[in-house]
Amino acid sequence: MKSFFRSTRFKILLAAVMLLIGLVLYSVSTGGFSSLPSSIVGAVTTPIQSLSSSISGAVSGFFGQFTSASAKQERIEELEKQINDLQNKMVDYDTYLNENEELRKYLKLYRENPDFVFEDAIVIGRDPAEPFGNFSINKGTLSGIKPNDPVITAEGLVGYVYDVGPIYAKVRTVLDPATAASAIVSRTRDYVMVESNTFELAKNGLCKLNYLPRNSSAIQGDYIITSGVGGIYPRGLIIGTISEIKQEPDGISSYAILTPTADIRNIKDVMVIKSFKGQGEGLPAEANGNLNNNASSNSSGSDSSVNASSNSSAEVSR
Amino acid sequence: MSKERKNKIFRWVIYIIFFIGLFMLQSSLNIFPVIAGVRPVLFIPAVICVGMFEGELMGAVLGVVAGCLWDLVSTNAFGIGALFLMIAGWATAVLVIYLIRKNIFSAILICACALVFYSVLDWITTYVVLQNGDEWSMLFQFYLPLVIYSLFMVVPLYFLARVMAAKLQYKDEA
Repeated sequence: MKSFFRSTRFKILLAAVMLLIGLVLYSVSTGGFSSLPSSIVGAVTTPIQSLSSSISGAVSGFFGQFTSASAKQERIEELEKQINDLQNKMVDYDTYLNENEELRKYLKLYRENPDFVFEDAIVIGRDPAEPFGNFSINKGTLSGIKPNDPVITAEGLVGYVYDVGPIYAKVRTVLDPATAASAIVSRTRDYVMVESNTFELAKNGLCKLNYLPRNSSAIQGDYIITSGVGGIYPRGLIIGTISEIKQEPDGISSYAILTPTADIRNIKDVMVIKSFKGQGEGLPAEANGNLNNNASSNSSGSDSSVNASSNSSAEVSR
Repeated sequence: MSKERKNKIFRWVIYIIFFIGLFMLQSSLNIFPVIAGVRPVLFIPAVICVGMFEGELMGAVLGVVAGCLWDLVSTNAFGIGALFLMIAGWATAVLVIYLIRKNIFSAILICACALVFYSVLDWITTYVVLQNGDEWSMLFQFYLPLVIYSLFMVVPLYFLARVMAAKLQYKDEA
């Protein structure tokens, strides 16, 4: 033991202890700031610690991937399901939004005309050998649809029903030369006729507006609405807007080119007006017999007094 | 019920389903692209091709079936399409039996004649009578492209009808 205290190893140990105690005392005396030795040590060890930390983190993450993979997979599936649900809801939302907007337009029309009885229908077929956009719909007599019922979209008049089966009906559009409709220039109140359409106009989705008075102040962009004369179309339905005004060769009257507001060649859904006040008034007895008896005949908005009554018979389907 | 009778019924059912499918293709808006403002008529080539391979009876009866379907969406009076296609199906079968060869060129020739005949008849009865002044532009800008576009449909319909007839007749014989 005596020899140990005299040995060099003990002397080195003692010196180290003394050095460390001195170091401690020095550190305490610096008042919270790091001492020079600790700074030196820190400068050396911190990058190493950082490296080791990042390596351990990476290793931990690497193995952690395997240990938490199943949980993450479940979470991913859950989120994917949520995304799918939300996407479906978005599709539904868009559908409902469109339907809502469409129905709002009809609601406005219904509020303005509470006598209208609507039946919604889908366009089910178009004959390729037919150039005027006529089509068939999926509702017929079983739904209360009759010949000469007007067909509309929220945008405006489309045409009228000219042939009905139990579960289908055929619609003749305003583009067809065989269609005639008494109408009014909304701003000037001039009575005109949508009739005698030509192939050249129809292929561009346009109609001809006849009997526009020469002194009419109608201009491009004026709205054309149904006059109610003739008993096929109720008064006040928008047909379209004037896109051009031209002189007839005889110089007595003018005619206009009408752009229908409804996209007749591409519509997929329509509304059939099964009943309205004044329906069938002015129609010949034979045609009138086809109309529903529910149609009220005491129309307060009857157009029979208007000057264009001479045109009323022309509105009857040919 | 005998096997032969079952096969016959099966054959009729297949052809009727075939024409219902064609009806959906023909009367739907977005199946065939609109070229020069027209979509093709499928029923005339289809009835002619089927009549060519299946004979007078099937040609005529399937012509009536196809025509009735067509009349559901046509502006013409119900029955006109049925009458036209019945005659077309029957006449094609008779022509093939007695006069011309059964090949793609004959099918194109007969279809061209039938399409031109139908178009001119339709043009006169529905438009010329109205005297709107642009009858000729309608003939050349609507009916002519319609005939040409529809003629392009003859080739696939001819080979389809040939395959169907071969399979169904084979089934009959078996």
